[in-house]
Amino acid sequence: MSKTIAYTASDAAFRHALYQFIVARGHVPKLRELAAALSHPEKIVRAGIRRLAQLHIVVLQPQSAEILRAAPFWAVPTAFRVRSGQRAWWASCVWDALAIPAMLRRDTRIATACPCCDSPMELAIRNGRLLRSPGIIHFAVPASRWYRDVVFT
Amino acid sequence: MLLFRSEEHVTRWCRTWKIKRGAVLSLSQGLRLANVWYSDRMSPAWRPFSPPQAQAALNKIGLRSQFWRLSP
Repeated sequence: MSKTIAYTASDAAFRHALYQFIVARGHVPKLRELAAALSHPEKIVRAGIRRLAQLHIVVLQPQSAEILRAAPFWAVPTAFRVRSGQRAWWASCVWDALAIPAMLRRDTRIATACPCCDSPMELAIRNGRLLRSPGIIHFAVPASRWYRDVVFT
Repeated sequence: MLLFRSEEHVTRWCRTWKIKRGAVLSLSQGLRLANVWYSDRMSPAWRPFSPPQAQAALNKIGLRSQFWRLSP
């Protein structure tokens, strides 16, 4: 069982710097890239990210220990592309995709496809409201199991 | 959490992949859920939800059935 740790001021500052990077650059960074941007040694950044993973704020790639998910952003291409202005991010599910306009408070377009028929679907959010709302969201996994396998969920 | 064209497409997809049908939300409910869960995420003062806070966020938008219970 993983040890529970407290969320410290240092974790908060590091988390905030990570999210600012993702929003400004339009992607989840590799740890080396984040270290360079923050002018910190990579060793310190790896330790900070490990703490955020223990706190379930990020999910790491199992082999490389690079960031896979800093919710709601994903490091790898997914079925949800979220665009705002000149920036675009990947989200793994429609909840995460809708989270990006919610947290950034920016007009956003979300491109995806229906998993049943593969037909393209696009959502537009302007001034915090859905302009077009085709479709319906399906949650396959009950809430009690969301964190058992976050990639599947 | 995937976006389908319709309920009928959810049913067909669950049948094809032998996945038990879960819960469905409208997109406007999904946006409300995204707002209660994520709207303060860019704040330096953001803190992770405790389990009761997370459950309260779900309750706030009316997701109160067994499916939405975070503890088994």
